[in-house]
Amino acid sequence: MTKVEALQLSILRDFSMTPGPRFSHEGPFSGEQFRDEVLVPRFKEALESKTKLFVDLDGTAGYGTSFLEESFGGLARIYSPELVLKHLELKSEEDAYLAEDVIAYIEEANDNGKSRLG
Amino acid sequence: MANLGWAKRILYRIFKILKLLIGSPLAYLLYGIVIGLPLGLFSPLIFASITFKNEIGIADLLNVSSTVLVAVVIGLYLNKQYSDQRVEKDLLIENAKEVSNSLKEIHRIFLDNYYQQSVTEKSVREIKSGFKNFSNNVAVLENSIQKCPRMSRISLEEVKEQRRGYRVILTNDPFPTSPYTISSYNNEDKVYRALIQSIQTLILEINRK
Repeated sequence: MTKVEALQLSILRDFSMTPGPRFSHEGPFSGEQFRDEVLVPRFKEALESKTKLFVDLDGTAGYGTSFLEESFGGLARIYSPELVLKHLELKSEEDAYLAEDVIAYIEEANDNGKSRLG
Repeated sequence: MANLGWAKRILYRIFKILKLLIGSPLAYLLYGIVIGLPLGLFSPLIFASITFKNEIGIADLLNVSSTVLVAVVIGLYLNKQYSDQRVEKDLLIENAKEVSNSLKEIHRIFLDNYYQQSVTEKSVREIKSGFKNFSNNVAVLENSIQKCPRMSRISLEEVKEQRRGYRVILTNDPFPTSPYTISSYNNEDKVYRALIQSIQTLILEINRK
């Protein structure tokens, strides 16, 4: 039986070194853009191949909560927090609690299109 | 009654001096003198009905030597325990102070940004890296606590929860496109003060262990 490896996604390599604001109209490299152009397609691929999507958060200039909530929280609003957490793995060695915070944004994403944050 | 007050003051001063010397071998010598000397001077009165032999046997010498040896060994062991505990406390307090300093730094950066009411690439970078530095200092403190068995009951959960809320205040909308609002300022101030208080409580808790 062939072992299916996790799909890899690096925000630095596959998107941008400088993640930006929440929405596309606010500026380049937004959370919305990242979600629609990179995260959702790769997550869909992971679901179809019944594997996990491994996201590397390291190497960038840092993230705003607005970017993370719109991208990962937005993903959870499309697929449900439970499904996202089941098929997503996060890595962050440069910012100690970043992965934990992202998981919290996923768990707290509600289904009316708005975040409970702020 | 006045004599009692005077005696109390003398004893209190002796106690304060002894407390300063705890952990020092000199303390044990002083304890011995303070307790042993009056006992020796008043022993005829205390032990009047007890008869003592005026000879010292080899068993008595061995008895005294082994008692002194045990007292010294126990003293050295207790001294080491105290010393290890002090090192752990000092290390954790230093780490907690680093957390506090990095928090004050990001608070200063936030206030600069709020007062200037402008968003630049530099200010965005400062906020992000400042918060990351603070966050990582909390992680270092957490790891250090886990490495000290005596401090294992100290919980960092409140600080971590507040840290998470602080990230949202600093880097959620309107960041990084628009300047911070009055609402951002008020929320930041509230969480900042709560964090400072939590860290201070933590330092006191560490010192008490």
